[in-house]
Amino acid sequence: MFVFSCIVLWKISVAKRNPDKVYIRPIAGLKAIDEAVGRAAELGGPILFNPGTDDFTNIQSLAALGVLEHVAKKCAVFGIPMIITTCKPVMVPICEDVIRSAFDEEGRPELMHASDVLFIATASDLAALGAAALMLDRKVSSVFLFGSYDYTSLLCSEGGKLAGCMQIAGTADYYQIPFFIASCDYVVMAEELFACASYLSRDPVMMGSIAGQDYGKLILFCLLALGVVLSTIYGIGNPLNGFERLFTY
Amino acid sequence: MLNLLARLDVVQRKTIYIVLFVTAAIPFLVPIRMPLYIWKETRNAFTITSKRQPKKVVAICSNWVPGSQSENWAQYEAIVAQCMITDTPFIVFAMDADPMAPQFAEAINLRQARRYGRVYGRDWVNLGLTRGAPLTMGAIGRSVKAVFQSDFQHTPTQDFEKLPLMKDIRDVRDFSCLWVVDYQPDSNWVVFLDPTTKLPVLFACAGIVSTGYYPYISSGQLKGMMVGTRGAAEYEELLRQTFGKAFDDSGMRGQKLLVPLAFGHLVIIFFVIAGNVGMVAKRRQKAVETQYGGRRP
Amino acid sequence: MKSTRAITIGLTFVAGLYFILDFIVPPTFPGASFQGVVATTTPASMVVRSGTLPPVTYPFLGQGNMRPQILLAERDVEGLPKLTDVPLRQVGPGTLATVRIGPFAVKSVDRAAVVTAVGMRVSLSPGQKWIEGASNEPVAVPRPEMSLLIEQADSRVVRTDPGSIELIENGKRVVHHLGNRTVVMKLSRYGAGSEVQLDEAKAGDTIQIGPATFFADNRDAAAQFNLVVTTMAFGIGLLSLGMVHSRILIERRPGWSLSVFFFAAVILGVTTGIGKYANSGSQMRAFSDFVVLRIISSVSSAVFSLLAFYMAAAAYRAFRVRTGEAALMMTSALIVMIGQTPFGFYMTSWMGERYSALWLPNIAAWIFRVPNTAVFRGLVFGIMLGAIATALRYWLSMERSAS
Repeated sequence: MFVFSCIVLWKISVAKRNPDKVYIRPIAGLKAIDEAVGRAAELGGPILFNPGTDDFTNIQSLAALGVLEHVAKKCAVFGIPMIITTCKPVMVPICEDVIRSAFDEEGRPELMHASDVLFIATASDLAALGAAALMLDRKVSSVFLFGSYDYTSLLCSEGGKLAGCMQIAGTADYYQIPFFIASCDYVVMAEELFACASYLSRDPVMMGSIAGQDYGKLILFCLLALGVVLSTIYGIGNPLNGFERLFTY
Repeated sequence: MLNLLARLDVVQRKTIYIVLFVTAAIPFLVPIRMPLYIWKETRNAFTITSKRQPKKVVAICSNWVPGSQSENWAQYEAIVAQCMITDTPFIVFAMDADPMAPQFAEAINLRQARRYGRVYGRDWVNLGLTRGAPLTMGAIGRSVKAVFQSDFQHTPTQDFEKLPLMKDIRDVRDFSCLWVVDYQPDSNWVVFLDPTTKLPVLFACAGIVSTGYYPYISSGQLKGMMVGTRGAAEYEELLRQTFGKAFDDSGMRGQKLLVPLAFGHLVIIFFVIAGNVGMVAKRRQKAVETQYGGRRP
Repeated sequence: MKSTRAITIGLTFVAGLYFILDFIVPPTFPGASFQGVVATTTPASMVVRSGTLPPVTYPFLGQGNMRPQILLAERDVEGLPKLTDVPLRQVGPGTLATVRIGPFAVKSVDRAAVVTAVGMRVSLSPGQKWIEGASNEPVAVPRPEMSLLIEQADSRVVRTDPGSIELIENGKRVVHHLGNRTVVMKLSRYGAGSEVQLDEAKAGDTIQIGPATFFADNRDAAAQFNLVVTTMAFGIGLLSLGMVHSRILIERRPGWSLSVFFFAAVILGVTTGIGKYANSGSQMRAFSDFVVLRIISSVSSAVFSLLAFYMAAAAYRAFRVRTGEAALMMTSALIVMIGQTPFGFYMTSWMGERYSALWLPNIAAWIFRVPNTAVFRGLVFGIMLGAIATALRYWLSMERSAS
């Protein structure tokens, strides 16, 4: 943990000095945000954003808020109202704050009156059904489903499919990714969700942390490969295998 | 023929719904019994729960609610039936769950207790709901009565006259195993409840989330698992094989729901294959139309 | 706004304090603690005397009914007298206290003693009396089926003894007299410790004793505070909703009929919640069970069952084999789906036990245990590293936020 944190902080400092040197590969789901917002502008319908079924203590919800800010700024440019639905009451003021700040920054504070942050129900299935009903009633054009989802993900996304919306989803909950892939147009999978804010903002500090994260994965991979080779040579449980002893407690 | 197959590419949604509904309903109208193959994880879980240890109880964390009752109800009832048949005392509680979770568990406990003549307080205790995972898991491991100062009906857990079972339960060393029955059990149970990892931890989860727990089984952190309705059906089959007529399976849901589930799977497989056949047929149809200058032959 | 922010920060700090207390602060002061193997223990005790009667000794042995409860007389906010339960360390010689033991479920009465439901004979000592468990009213003659407590009211504490423990430390026997703030930790073979009462430490156990750190006692207070704040929030929320909807009803605004549903739902919910704690067999309990098990359960199941239909439609629409990888994925999906149902066993069991490795359930199980486990581990590594990096950015205020 300490080593990984040091690597991340080192890469952040490198990125601050040379911002152009850090590269993040294109993520289709995030590139499609402009397309989704453009579609909403053409059709004239609002955009619906659902930040997941958990509150801000879940890191995925925090990552989703980063995407929300970016989407809100895009909506402000085109004058598209937003509807945000959540099943956690504590997320309501947080989301309101995010979109209000985004609208103010783009000089469109009046959009806040046309936008809604709705707490539907604490039960995630009822919140999903409520969101699906909203998509039909208010003729939502594009739907963003970012954050932590439970089994109700398909209720949300299939509702959007029925309403004819363009859907972009992003979650690190691996069980829900297949459902989103089946019913959404674009899906941001697993750790790509945590790279969203960095990718969209192109902030050197955040891009540096993504690079540091990748170095951490590289180190883990090397450790795994070394462990596999040594276990193959010595066998599992062999006292000569110092590598195994190092990671056993 | 090609035209007919090409139409499989655009089957209407309501057709799929109707076929699925009718196919899944058939086993409820016509009782069908099918042979079961018992998976290793279910068998291990059954064996571990069967091992009666003196002065130890089976701890069950029952977090499920009606949303997942199709899988978890049958699983929970099978575990409770096993405990009650073998006269194994157990405690049940809920952690960070819906406030109705203890009530659902208690309804099943009472049902099974009536069949096997078990008494609340002596053979089982329902400790109700607590919050604060994962730290509360560690607190339960250190002192059960410090976390649960009363049961779900507000009887103090120190009142050994009413709850004699609680007299010998202090901490995790008094558990023979831990069952977690939930749609998606919290894997923190493996880490926080017993840091010495001596306590066998068993999960009863929904089928779709079971894939994430196989790494824990592979590493030995989870000793067994009941996967979805299939797992519940296998567990009931093991109970039947072990206890014969002593096991009263009337109203148990595992095997009753497995056959409709199997039929539903077949319908999905059929439509997936049909969709692919339709896609190929449509491509062929387009190729043929192109060959004939945009007209159908 | 500044005071709101200060209150929010303060509340957040207290909420986080609970977690810090449990994780970071050790239970005993390092350097002032002793560790050894238990040789003998002398349990804590308290000696009290009522007037000129002979003193009575109360040992603090075990948990449950026989452990004495010490009550001190206090005044509540309205000035009315009340009894407050306190631990042993809060009383000393000269304290006026009431001591209670019980409750006991009386099975039979035998001369001057009662026999409880678990077969224990209990009799009164000088200064003690029977009181009824529910009403705390004195009982002159105990009868079967009663739930009784033993009470020695308004008696002076003569002396208290927190107990002592004899430890074998480095081959030498050392007796440690426990203080009021001493914590006894029982250590496991792997070094993990759990706090126990003195009488739970048996000969041969490895024990660490030492003065309690200040925060260890206040952990529960922090948790209670969170509970109080949460309950307050519920109350305020309900009140606010009630005010909003009653205004809508009174002014007959559009959608006022939904406000009627709101009040009906609140009444139903509260009644159901109260009925949950009623005695089994009572009408309230039956009503609560009916609402939860018949109505809410059925409605929740109906919502969940939507997923089955949605899944079928989504699978039909999305699972088209256009590439080689998709074909591989489809094959493994079909094997796993069929393998998990009795059809899989039925279709391949004719091969016999010799070729059981080729049975569909076994192939499906292999897919779960080998490739799936490997992929999941990789996925989880990636997700966890991403989560740690994101959390690190938030922790160090490096995350760009709208504000």
